[in-house]
Amino acid sequence: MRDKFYFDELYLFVTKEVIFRFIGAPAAWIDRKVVNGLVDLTGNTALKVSDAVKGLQSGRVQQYALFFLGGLIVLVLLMTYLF
Amino acid sequence: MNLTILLAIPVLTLLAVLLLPGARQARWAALAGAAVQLAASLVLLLRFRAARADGGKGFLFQMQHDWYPDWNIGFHLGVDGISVAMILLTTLVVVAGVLVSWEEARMPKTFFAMLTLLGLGAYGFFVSLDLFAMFFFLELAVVPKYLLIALWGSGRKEYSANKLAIMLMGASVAILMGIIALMFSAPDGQWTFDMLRIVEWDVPADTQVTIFGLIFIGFGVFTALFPFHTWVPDGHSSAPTAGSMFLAGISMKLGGYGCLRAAVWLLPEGALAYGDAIVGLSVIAILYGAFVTLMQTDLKYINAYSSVSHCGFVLLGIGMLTKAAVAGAVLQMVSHGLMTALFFAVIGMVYVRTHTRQVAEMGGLMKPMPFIAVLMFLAGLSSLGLPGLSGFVAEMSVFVGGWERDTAFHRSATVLAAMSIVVTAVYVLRAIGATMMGPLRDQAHAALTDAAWYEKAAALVLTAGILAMGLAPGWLNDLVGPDAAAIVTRLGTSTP
Repeated sequence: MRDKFYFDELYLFVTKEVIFRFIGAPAAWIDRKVVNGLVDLTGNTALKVSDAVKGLQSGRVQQYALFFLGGLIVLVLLMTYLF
Repeated sequence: MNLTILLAIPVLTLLAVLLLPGARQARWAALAGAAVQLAASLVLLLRFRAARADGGKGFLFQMQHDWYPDWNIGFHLGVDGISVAMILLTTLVVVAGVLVSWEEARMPKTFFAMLTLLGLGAYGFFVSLDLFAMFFFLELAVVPKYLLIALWGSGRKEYSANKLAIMLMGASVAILMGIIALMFSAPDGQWTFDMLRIVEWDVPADTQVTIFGLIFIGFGVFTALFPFHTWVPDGHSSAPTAGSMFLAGISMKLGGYGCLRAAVWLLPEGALAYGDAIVGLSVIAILYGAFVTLMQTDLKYINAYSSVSHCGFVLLGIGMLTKAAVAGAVLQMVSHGLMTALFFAVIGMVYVRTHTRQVAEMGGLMKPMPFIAVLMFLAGLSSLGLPGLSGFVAEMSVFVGGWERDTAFHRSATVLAAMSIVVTAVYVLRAIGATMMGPLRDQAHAALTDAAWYEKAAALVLTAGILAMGLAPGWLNDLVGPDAAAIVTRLGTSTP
């Protein structure tokens, strides 16, 4: 009776060594790194994409004219070869 | 009863808060407005019960005005038992939130204005019978949430505020797409956003299923549907105390109510098709949320992750599609709203005194602050579903309703969800034990003061709600039961 049939030890083993280590800790890791990681990835990808394309909005009319001309050539080529 | 009163009071409160010259007058105006609204919601409850006793059916106190007639957008107000319960919850949380923020020093006028505005969005949402108006009020409530976190928050507040706003806006886009798609499936090409007319439409089953997905997932994000719950822990933890209370106590309930009203009620075929998926995801949220909570060391993160778990019960009840389970989902919204608001209020009280939210840095706080410690026990015990407190009533109702579905899938889902109560008990008791009980860990904490009058008042308002629901659940069950049944009867899944 002195050791209470080791109930406290058993309880602590099940909670600390089994539930906390093998269920709680992985779940918390998955939540932060995988589930939340995907959310952050989506946000950061959006930032990177906008960072990559922001150069197009340069304000330089010559560059816009170049894009316009390039687009026109692509369209003409498409029209010629597709139809 | 004229339901515009419920919108007029917060609007007038908002004007008073903004126009009164000093911060002290502004907070008294915010409190007075919240208290008058609480009184109005109690009158609404009494009038509603009287009207139902006289044989009133369906949505009561309806009134209708044109808003944008070209698109048949109307201002159609009306309440059923579910909306009355949600309005009551909102008024209690608003009063408590204003009281807890009594000593707010940073831009207090704007702060109280934001709280009032968030309340206004919720009241408008709960009394609207027009989908567009409902959506409008839902969005109205997002703005103050963002500002409350970004301006008055702590920690990674910009990150959390952005994440919350972007995820909720994304969810809103899904809802709006669903609403528009629903308009295009109007039987005679006659658009209307009036839910009482949409419910009579004969929308083809496959269309219902598609639209249901959009609307349910949209509202689901608001109520922490797995795996779209990640705004919850960061948002709640970075928000100021009243902000966390409003987010968990009011804002997440907009989602649950929307799932029920705009998705399940309007699109029964969609509910039948998605029911099992909802049950599956909510069981994941319940268990996974509980286990993740176990590992948290910050009191606010503990309560925020436990909200993911508890709101899983709301979605579980909805997904089970039986009368008792859907009624249980509504009860759980009320219960969780009250006890989680109390929990966040208590965490705020502890934080302003100890300047920490880390469990490991606290201990023995019951000696310097016994009142706050008792409140924390009360919120915690309600959270783990102790009979006599609100959580037990709600979760029991969800379990009974879940068990009514006699397939192996639904019954094992119910059992798994019920098992989370044990995990809840572990994290709640550990957190309270480590912070409140035992010897004082930090001797500097010996000189801390107990709750001030405004903190006590805030806690008593919420405690009164928790006890009113826990000790006498009959009145609330009678209030929401018939209307939960009305939603489920359309599905044909519940035993009569």
